[in-house]
Amino acid sequence: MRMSSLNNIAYIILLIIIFVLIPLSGNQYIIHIMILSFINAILASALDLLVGYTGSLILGYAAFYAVGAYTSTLLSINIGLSPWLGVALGGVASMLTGLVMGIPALRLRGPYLAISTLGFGVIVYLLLINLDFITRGPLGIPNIPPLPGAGLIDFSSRTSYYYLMLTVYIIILYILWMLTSSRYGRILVAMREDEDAAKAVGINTSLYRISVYMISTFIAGVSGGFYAHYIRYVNPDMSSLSQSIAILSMVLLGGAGTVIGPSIGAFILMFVSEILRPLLEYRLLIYGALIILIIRFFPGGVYGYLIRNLVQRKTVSKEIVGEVKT
Amino acid sequence: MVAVGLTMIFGVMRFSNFAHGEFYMLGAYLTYTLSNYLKTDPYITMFVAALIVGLLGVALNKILIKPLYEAVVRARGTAMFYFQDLNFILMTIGLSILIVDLVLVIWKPIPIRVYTIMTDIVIKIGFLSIGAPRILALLIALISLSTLYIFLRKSRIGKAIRAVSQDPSAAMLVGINIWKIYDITMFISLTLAGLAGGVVGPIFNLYPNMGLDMVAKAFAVVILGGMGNVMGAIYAGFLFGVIENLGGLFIGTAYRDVIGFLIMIIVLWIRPQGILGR
Repeated sequence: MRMSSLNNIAYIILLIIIFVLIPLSGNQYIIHIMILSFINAILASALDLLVGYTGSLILGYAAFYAVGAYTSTLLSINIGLSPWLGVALGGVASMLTGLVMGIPALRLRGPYLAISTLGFGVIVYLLLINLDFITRGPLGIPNIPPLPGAGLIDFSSRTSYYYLMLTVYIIILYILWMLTSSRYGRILVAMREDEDAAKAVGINTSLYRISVYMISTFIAGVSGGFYAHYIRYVNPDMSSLSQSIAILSMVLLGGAGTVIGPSIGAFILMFVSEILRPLLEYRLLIYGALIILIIRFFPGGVYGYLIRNLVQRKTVSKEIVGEVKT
Repeated sequence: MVAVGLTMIFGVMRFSNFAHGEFYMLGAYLTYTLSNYLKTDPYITMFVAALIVGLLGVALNKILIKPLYEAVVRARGTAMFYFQDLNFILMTIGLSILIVDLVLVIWKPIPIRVYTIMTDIVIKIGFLSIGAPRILALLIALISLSTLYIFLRKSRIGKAIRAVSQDPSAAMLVGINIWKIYDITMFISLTLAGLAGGVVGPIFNLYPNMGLDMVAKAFAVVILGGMGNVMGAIYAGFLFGVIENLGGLFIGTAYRDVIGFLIMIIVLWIRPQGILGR
């Protein structure tokens, strides 16, 4: 046990070193895709907190991402607020939106939850398009100020933004890892497996459900803010159904209910969709086929598949040996 | 007809089919294409199209859905709570996206009008004038639904379907092959959806998102009326339409869908049991 956790730490350090070294190649295109991958990985990890750990399928998730991005954008453009504060407030706005959706959705399960959150996503999308005196409608908002740097660091350069996103990504993943491996995470999984049983042992399931909505949507809002100040342009398509489906595909592809899985899915999907850019028309076709294939053949996603075939094979063979002995 | 198919899958197979509207759309598009190729009237080809959609459903059931059931039975050893299982929802959502985009690629996003010999015939009853396609749609819906009702009441297979819907485990114990029943259920409900699509074709335009819109509205109405409450669903359907359009009139048509979904969320918040529930 001790050995394996040491091994894990070694792998994580190795990965971080690789991530740190990537910008040294100087390839701006790769750095750009990596930054987008980080943002999407954060978003997918936040969604996984709901889909994977809590077992509640949220369909219009991109709405929170868009709310975060728009809040931060509008605050920094109209009021001249520092984009750093804007990103944080974007997270808060997204969290409040999450509350608005979360409270009515408390009693809903399965298909009803999925369809009402889909409806919620549609509402946000239509509001962003139709409130055009605030959001400029389908045109979107260009010329968003970049994050101001401090001293020698200037975040308008791609490389420094890369390191910023890497840091944010590692921090958020660490927080999620702490959360899910603590008592809190175990309670979420207990609720997912059997809500009535969880209630019976005295867990306030509504409180936990609301709190997990708030945490997840806060992270989504923050990632939206970082996206807005990086690309420096937002439009209502950020909250479209296809964006929500893309995030969901990342979670499922990587492996729902794991900390690292959604990130793997995000990186794979971001790079694959760059390679498949000529096939943009078929994007949803590919996502749909991907979801079906994963559910049918690899229920644990890529990460689950790797774990089953690399790690568990050893332990399973041990178990069988143990059984023969007894 | 779409709603009946949806309820049938939900009742018998115990999962909610998010791709159901897509089969309705597929029925409409197949009817259109078949009548173009065979140079026959859509009112003949729609039955062929519906059969094709139904057979497609059986194939999908065997390839995609059955393994999920087996996985759930392996994991939990029970045959009751499929509809809570995320995998079914995700699978049908994946299927729905796949079919919509496939249709988009094959038939292009431009709305299509279907012409039949009935299109221009208008029947006058008193001061009301109704297009013949609408009357035919009503007739076909009535005939197919009453046939289904008699089939479920009287025939051996119909009784078996009802048995499975009440208790799958007990049905299996008395020697009913539930996999076969699931295939048949899938066939019937998807044939109905396909036929509905074919019937609607000559009345409205065809567009790839028609199924998605239909199912989203159907779910909203079901939530509004209270889950599993048939009378509630009927009242809610009217109420939904009226409020949506009145709201559109006063606030602006761009917000029509916003209002519809907003009502749904408010009802969920205040009266989760639906407007008619106790």
